[in-house]
Amino acid sequence: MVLVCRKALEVHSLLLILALFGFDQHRAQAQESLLPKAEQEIWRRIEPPQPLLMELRTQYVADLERIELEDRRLTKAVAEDWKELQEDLLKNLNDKHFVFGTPINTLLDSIVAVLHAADPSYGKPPRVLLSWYPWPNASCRGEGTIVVDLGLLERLHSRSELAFVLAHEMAHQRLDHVGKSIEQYNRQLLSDDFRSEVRSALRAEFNRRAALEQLFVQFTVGERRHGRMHESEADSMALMLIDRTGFQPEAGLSLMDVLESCDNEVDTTLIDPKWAFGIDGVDTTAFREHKDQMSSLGALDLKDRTLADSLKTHPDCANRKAALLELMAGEVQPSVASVEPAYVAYQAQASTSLIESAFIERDLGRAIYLGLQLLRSRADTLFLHAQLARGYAELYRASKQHEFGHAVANPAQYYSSSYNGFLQVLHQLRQSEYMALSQYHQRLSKLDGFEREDTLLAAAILALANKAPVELEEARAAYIRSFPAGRHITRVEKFTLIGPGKR
Amino acid sequence: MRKNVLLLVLLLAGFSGFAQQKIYKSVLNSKIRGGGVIMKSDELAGYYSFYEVDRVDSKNRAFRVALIDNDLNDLGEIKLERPKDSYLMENVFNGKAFMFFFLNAKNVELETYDLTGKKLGTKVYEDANKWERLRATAAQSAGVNGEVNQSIFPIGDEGFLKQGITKGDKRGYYLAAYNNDMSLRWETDAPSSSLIENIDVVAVTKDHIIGSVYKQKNVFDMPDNTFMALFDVRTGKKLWEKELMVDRKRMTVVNVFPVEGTDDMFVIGELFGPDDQVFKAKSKGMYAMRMGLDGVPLQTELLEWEKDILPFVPADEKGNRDMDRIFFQKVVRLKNGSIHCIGEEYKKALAATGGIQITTKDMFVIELGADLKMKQCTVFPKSKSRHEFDRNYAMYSASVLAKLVKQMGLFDYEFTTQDKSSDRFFASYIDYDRSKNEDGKKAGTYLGTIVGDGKAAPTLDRYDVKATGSFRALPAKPGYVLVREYNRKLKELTLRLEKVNF
Repeated sequence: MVLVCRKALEVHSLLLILALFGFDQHRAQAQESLLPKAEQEIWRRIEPPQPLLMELRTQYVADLERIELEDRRLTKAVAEDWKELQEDLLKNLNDKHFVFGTPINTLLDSIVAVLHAADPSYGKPPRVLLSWYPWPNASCRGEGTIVVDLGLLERLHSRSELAFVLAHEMAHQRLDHVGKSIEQYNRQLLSDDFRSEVRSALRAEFNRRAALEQLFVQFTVGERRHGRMHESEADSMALMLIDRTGFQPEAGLSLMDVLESCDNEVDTTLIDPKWAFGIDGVDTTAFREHKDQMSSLGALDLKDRTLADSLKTHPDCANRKAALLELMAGEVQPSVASVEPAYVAYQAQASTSLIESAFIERDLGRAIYLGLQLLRSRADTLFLHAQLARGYAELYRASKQHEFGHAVANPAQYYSSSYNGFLQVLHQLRQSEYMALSQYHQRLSKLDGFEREDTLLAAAILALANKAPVELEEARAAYIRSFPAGRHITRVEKFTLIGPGKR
Repeated sequence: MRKNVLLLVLLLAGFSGFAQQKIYKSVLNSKIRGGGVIMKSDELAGYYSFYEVDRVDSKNRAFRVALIDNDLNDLGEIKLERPKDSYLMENVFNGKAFMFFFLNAKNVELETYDLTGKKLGTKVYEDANKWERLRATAAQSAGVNGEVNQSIFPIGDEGFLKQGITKGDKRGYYLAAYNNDMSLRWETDAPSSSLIENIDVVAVTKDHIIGSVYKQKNVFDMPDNTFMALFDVRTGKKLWEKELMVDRKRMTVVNVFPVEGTDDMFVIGELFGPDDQVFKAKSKGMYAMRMGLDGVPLQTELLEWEKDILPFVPADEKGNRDMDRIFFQKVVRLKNGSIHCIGEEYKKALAATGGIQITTKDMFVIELGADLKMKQCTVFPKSKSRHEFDRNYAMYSASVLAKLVKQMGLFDYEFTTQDKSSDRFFASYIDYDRSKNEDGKKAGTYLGTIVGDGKAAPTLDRYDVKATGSFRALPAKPGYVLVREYNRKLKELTLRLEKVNF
């Protein structure tokens, strides 16, 4: 009887524990599931899929074994360069530079499938990886992988433009441009003439560096010229491929406009410092205006423009556009691109994810800037307040540790006036004002009654920076309770003020 | 072969950086022939590095002057061909042109360049006085940071002033003004007399050159007093020279500021006892004076160390207060009218080796109001630093030795920058904390920056720089310090801007 009762008690306790645990899980999941859908789908850095890694490793070994050229030294040099490319991609994968399992990944795969179906002579369809990088770029790695950077997706207007980008990179793959470049580069490097010239330069008693510089410039200019030809070929081939699909060929023209403006910010509207920073605890009267000439040396003009032109990797966008128009032979009329309705959601997701990208790059100024830009048009998106709370908290901590310089860029001539103006003001804020701004955005992010991941993270970071153990433990415990599988769980679990391992 | 080409790539473009940090790889220290700040009047415009890149022939070398602005953005390089023993000592900018001061094996040389890197003019001092060369050589090791060892100054945006030493064997001051293309505007030197007259240029304004003159019977003689002199910047004519005194108390000049909207000047300096010899005696205090353009004092306020400053010095465990001499490193005047005198305490003593030692101690900031009366004094304790001279220097007074320490760049004080917009100053110093921490290791090298705005007491931002190689703090845009580290093992030079917290 006692045994039965004890057993019953054990079972009952177990059930109770399970019920409580299950309830907690359910509550945590409920917390997450009650958040707006967009926030539930926030991208996170995850390990690359193991099948992909295995596939690449197997392929790479086979690729290297296949390299055989007429000269043993050349074969070895080419193989070394390929190996370096392969290792670079594997390292990027292991360093979690890529995003997986998002709607944009699905979009990229589907477009590649359509393009490949239009011309199976392309061989095996490439794999497309989406990177966290904020640059507006895409590249063909040459071994069957195309990488599209997050920064490009924000700038595009339509699926057709994205299709043109992918078609262009597929053309590089189809024409083996990377392979040809590697081979040609090494042929020249190992040629008797070139080696003789380098030896001669190294042996010279005088003007050695000038001779080597000249050789290097000639070598690179030649290589870049070759590269520009490849770009033109890829453009033509991409157009032919697009023509065979339902995508709009004129998207190639609007794409050139996008690439032309790549050095500019997407949104160049100035951020009003009073709107952005005008809260209790921040002295906006002290703000000084951004001046266009940021340094007394701003008017200096020492760049060698002729050389810079020769070293371009791509033809000018205007020339590329003209070449495409000629190929289209007047069949289409270029028009100003507006955002395709079906692409709007992807563009929005890319824009939001760029904030996370900035955090990954540890470019806190950029993360805050992007958050403020989006907040202007999406004032009701409380998630953005959470991101800003996080950004200012990280900035506060960096400032306390005298690592501000590692986290915020300086104004520079290659930035837009808008970004420079923002940076000028951000630099002027005092340490206490970063904290005040974080706390302000933390409050706003909770207006719907939910403590968001980034809000709790912000609170924990401030407590850590202020060496406040009680507040730190509160925020940390709340995060672990509410987001046991959250994006920052590994980091938050390590937050401690006792002994080593302070994170 | 591939390695050589790749190495060349690194040498030609071997830097990377997030905007607040620059890393230069494959930097051979032996190839660097000068580097530092580019000053535009009292404003920091940027930084330069002068290095050798090639041998042109047996006598000449190809050099580059690499320029970056005060946000560490690359601005490009100026290519030069020069004698192989050239060192670039100073680099100033007047808004339209650069002036470079070169120290060569046998002469000194000035060159000007425009904003496109085109050379505008050159002037070689073939018969540069040996004292000029000595000064330049000493400055080479100490460095030039806009506050010490500077001898060229912009005059507006159309010219430059060169302060030097007269030609030939006679020693005395020499001033020359040049246009941007190095055509001479005027030159003047110390008057012919039995005395050797030297000058420290204190300020160059758009109308005047203000200097502190001291006169010696011979190079070993210590003058009794100094004189304040005013020159017309357009003609080089000396307008007046005055010995400053009040009630026979001698006064030296540390800094001079124009008073906005008037022709008056504020003069700040040290105060000595009646008939004291200023190069030997310990000063009794300091003064602040408002002076007309004719050199006539309009208002003078005196402060005595014992009576007015000592009460602010923190007492030791026994309740005693003690202060020695104060070397005025910098005096700044803010737009709100407050004047802040930044000093470093120092003391002369016998060294254990039998030589003479200068020990530097705490930092002092003495604040005067717009009415020139003292408002407050804040002492920032720091670790002591000691500098030894051999026994031959025993005959020199503490003041003279302190000046030497200053010229050799051995004070812990580094520089002061002023943010004219937010009306704040930032005075930085290095604190070599030789105390041991709990692990028995030396505590560290700290960079301290005193921040003042004339509204509240100045504050201190102090932190461990965690330097991994040879380290130097350089002036930066207001509110920042530039930290320069060279890692010999990795042959990497890193520049980073650190924000001052206040």
